[in-house]
Amino acid sequence: MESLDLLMTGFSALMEPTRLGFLMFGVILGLLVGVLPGVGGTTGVAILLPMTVFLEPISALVMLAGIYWGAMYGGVITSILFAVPGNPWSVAVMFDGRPMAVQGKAQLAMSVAFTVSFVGAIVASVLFTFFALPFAQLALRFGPPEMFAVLMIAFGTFVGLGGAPAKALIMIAAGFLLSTVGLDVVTGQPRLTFGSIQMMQGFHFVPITIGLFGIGEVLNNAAERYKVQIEEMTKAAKLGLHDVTEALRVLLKHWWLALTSALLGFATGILPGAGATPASFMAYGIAQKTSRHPEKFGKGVPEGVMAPEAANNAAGTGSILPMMVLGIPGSPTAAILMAGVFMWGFVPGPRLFVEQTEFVWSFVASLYLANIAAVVICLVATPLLALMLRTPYAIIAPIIVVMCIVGAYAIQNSMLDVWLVLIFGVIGFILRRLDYPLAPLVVALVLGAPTETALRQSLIMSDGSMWIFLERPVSTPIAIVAILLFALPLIQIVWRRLRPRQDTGSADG
Amino acid sequence: MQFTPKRTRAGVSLASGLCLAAGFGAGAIMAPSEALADWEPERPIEFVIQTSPGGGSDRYARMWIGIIEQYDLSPVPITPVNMPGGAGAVALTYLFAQDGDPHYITPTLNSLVTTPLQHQLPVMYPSEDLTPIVKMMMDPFQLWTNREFFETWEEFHERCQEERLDTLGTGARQEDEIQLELLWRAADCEPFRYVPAAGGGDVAAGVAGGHQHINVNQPAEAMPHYPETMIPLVNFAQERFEAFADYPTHWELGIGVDKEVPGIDATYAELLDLETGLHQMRGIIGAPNLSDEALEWWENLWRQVWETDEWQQFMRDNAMTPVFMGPAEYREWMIPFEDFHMQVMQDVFEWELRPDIMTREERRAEN
Repeated sequence: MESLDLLMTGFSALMEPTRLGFLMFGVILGLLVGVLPGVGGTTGVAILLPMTVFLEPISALVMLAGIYWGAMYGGVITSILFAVPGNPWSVAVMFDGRPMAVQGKAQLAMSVAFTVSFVGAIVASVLFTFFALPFAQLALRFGPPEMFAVLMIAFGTFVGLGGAPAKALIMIAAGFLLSTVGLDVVTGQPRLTFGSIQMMQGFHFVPITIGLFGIGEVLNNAAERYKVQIEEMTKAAKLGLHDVTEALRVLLKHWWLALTSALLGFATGILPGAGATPASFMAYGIAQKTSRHPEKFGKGVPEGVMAPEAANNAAGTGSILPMMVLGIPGSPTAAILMAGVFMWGFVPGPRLFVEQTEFVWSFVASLYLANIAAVVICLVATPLLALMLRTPYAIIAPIIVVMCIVGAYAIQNSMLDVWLVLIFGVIGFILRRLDYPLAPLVVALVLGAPTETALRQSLIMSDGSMWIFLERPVSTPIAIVAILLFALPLIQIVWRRLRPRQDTGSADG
Repeated sequence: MQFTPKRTRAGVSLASGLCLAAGFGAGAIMAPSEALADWEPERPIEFVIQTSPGGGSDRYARMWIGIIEQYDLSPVPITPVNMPGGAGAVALTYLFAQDGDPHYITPTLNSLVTTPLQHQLPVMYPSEDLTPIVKMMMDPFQLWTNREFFETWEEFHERCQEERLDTLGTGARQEDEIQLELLWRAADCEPFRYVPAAGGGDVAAGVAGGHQHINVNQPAEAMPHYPETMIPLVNFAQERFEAFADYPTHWELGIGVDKEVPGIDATYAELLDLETGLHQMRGIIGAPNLSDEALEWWENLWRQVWETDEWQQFMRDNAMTPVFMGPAEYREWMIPFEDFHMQVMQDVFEWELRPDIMTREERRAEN
């Protein structure tokens, strides 16, 4: 196998101590920045980019890559422990990870998340190693109509997810509304900015999510005097390998879910502009839809942690592929890495694969090494991390609030984002008290803008005809699946009407 | 270390004009010495970047920062601060508020000119409302296509007169769209169907994936696909580029050469051209009303960056046109650049500009 030989070249290139050192430095740094809410791998990579102008290219590349791989793991920690999503793609893992922590299973939740992240990343790395070129070619076939169809599937998987339908609908509408603020992509005109220049930057979904979940949770706990959680969580912090073996058992039991979520994540990740966040939502939605006990989702099932984590790590890996293979950056991080590749004097793309094999394949090899390092560090640190839950809440709560605010500000150095965190913290608290589901709002907010853009781009291409989604070879099958997903609840209703005796009580789950 | 912000622009121009008289060629010989400057930064510099990390001007900013750090050119750290949003509106408004403070600079790209003309910011004409510092290079435009559609300009030109062709570019009502709007008018094509995309990567992917026929792009963005998938049909410059010597210029092809732009004293060919018209300008601009001393320090720093082997090599690798302009020269150059943008957008394309738009002269009369 030629790829295998080349991979070995990559590994041997990485065996040089300085390169290995830079890679490990990157991974640890990535884990740390991933923990900070709002500050993800993108920021970490960007900060260190200038430093690499004069580094030896392979060291520079694997260090930046290491930050990125490490950050994919770090984000999950605060999501599970404090309901503060460390990264946009750690939002979905919170839906079940946080309830697990509340039930005293924080260590298990984290162990499951770390091991499944590893599986996701390794599945993606193997695909990257052997099928980089065909996958990249496939990704190119995806234009705006195909993207719209994919995003429709993402929404379709969330139809009927938790909460009273009317309330869910209200939250979806609110999410869409929030996502329209800012400069209109198609006309370049400001929308819903009320004449404010600051508002022209739009509502970033990270501060809103941090506010709704992180601050909302803090307020909620304060209101309840944190009475329930404190006893149960204290039980959590038992040191030992028990949770790791338990996590492996869960993983083996649901290996099919982990594998399919990873494949789904990888496929979504390589599409330009899609990336890890929609992948994690889609995987969660599909896991719930295909589960035998969908009503338990959102209340702390390990599958709800597994699916999004496997998907987002696979997607994160996949999103680098079009950049390396074709020179098309599919995500902000890929764009920064590509800037680096140019800076170090190479041109990314097909020729890089042919002419700079050592460079390319040490990058591929870094995928494996970085993920092994990251999962080991994370698993070892898990009991220590869970110990944080033992800290009195009166001490932890202010730290969470400060982290939320600093993280939000760091995204685009904007005070508006700080206000968003605070305002949506209060809103999140109220919504929680009134039993409005927050997930639909976040999904609509995150996916709203790319969906709108894809739809309007498609309609420009077709001079306004909706048939464009059913006229293109790649988008047609995807669009049909999306339509079926939307029709599924209707079909189920009709089905139940036809067989009136079979009463299922899961609709309000 | 004190500096007094000078409110009179004449003073600034005159002093930097004298600097310039020393000649920028001479600058290369002159040993650069920071001790000569009467001003030095006292605290870290904020390099306000108008895009997210990984966006076009972010990459240049971070590369320059790397060079400055490596050669130890600045006594204080230069911190990149990303303020994306509003196509530069947020960053420019922020910069404008730092009146007279040389510790704030931003890398320029063409939204520096297009955004303030369309949105009601405190900045309208950056050459007057902010302080141009240096221009570091010109990033040329080329017309790129996927080889499955066309191999030559002639093939393209025939098709474009028969039907509306598909194209895409970064953002709405920004530089890519302006260049394309000029192009179809200049070449008597049917109007292009323009899809606004999110970033340079999407723009390249649209054509490389065969979803759109053409785009206008800088060489660096399209280079990964050249020559297997994509080729440039036209170079918008006086002379062929060394790296793309097989592909003609729009002057050779006679695109818009004899065609006057209505209301403007220029031909389409001139406006499409690298030197007399459009290109992505990569340079540095500072807060309003900077002192001569501060400008001198900045010019000296950027000239040293410009002369490094790394930057020269990078410009060569990416087919960029090396040019260095000091504060006065950059400002002089920017004035007609702004004016033709204003006129073309308002009168030729009939786009909606900011409600309080006025010409430079009207504005001066009002103050």
